[in-house]
Amino acid sequence: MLKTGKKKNWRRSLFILAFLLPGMFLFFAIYAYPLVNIFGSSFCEWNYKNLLHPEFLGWNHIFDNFIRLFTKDTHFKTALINSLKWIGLTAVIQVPFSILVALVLSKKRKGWALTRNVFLIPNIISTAAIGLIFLNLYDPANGLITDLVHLVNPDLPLNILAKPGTAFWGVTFSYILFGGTNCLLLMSQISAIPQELYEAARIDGASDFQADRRITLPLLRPMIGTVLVLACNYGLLLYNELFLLTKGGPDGATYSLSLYVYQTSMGSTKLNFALGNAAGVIQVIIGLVLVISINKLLRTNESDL
Amino acid sequence: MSKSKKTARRHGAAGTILCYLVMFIVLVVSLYPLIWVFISSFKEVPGGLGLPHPWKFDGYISIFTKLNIGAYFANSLFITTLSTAISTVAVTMAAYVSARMNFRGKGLVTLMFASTLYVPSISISFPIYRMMSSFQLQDTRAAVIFVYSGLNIAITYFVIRSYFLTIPREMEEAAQIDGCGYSQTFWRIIFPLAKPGIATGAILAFLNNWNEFYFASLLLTSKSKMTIPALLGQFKGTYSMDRNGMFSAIVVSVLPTILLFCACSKVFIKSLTAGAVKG
Repeated sequence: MLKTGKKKNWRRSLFILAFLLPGMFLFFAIYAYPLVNIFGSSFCEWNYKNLLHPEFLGWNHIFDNFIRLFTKDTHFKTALINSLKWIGLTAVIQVPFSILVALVLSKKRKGWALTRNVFLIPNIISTAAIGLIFLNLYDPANGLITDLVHLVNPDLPLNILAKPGTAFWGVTFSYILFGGTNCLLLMSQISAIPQELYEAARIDGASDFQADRRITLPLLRPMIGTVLVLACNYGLLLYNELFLLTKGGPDGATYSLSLYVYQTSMGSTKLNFALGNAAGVIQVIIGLVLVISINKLLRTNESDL
Repeated sequence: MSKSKKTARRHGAAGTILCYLVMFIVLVVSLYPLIWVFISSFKEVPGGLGLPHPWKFDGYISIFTKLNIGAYFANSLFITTLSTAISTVAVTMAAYVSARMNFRGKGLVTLMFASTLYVPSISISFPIYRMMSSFQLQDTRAAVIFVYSGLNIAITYFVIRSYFLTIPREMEEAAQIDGCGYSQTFWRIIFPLAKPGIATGAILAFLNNWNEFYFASLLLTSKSKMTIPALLGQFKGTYSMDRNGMFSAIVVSVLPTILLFCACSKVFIKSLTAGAVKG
């Protein structure tokens, strides 16, 4: 009896191990090893001259790459500031806009389902296509946005993407309003709120606006947290639209952290892998800080999972 | 008094106008750029307002004959299908074990998968790029397939795991009493029941892989191997002169996704909603 029990246990462990193995392999190959690698190499000297032999900087100079990023590297400085700005702008424009649309569509007026689906389209097509579309919308000669913008303010440069100030907003506008997925997630949460709450509010004479403010929004908090995490991560990662619109130009004014990582370790001639990886480490840390602080602020643990 | 009249009074005229205004803005912002590109693609000089005059099909002819865009669709389909299949199988197995069985380190497994959600993929792209070169996989579709297989594991893991959690325990217990082994229980009993959840996760992974731009353009350098998004990336530099071709390529590249979405929006919506990972 004991023997069969042991045998069964052994088979059980083997089964668990075998089933975990493929997923774990992918995790270690695509995430764990690269993460360890960027952390490790951020303390090294490693550039195009010593590609095969990264060298540890030594304990006295261990943070040299980071010091260089924050003190000497102007592209990194703009990249960091821009990425923080894009995170912030996503949080204060995209997320509230998504919430507003979700509240409006949840009233289920005529055309709500169509509007919801259309709002999803920019999110389900490739961001490369979006980037290319906006590149043409900003075209100095025939671009739709160029024409519209100049109707309002003729003083703006003809090529929006060629001037640092306007180029930043050009990139921002290419993604910031597309909150279809956020809206969908919020709507799914709204539809889970019991109708009795609204009926009770109605009997008490509350208007729709009041009901939204007092009932929907507070109950929506955890999902707003989820949406904020997803949206801010998008802002932190911003690359595709940027790559197609400005490639960080003019003069590095629209660099993002992602673009900096790419340019520094893969996309230019004098590559510095250690520096790029150090920037990657900073990006990872910002991402973690974002998630943890949003969770702390908006989500109670009991509703999770 | 009719019901609709009642509702109208409750919302108030201002509320109604505001609601429709928001809906109108959403429609214009989401759809107008696409319509503009679509109409412009038939113009002699793409861009501007108004309808094409005369209607030109040069762009479409050139992308199907000279550019042979079909080949890029084939690449995209091949890479996306294979990588989605690999990651779905791997993730389904891990999700099953961690949802249905007890073992030491179970929490750690979930934590590992969850943590990948918050790693900005570009920050770790250089080690991945180097790894592919050291495996002699530079500029191969295999490299892209490998990377895509691992890229979405967090979301698929949560979607599939949460579906496994909804299946009643009695199913396994009954199977085991009937003498099914562990793998038999999984393949014969649980897997068929979990198909909808697995499909939801797979669709989400497929969509993400289909649209992925960064790694495709990083890992693939020869044009003949590129996916559709990577090809679009080439338009900025290489073919920027051929504006008709660019507009037509945008239309042709997004049209299948949009048509598929129109045809089965319910499936898409289910997958996208399930993707709201709580990590």
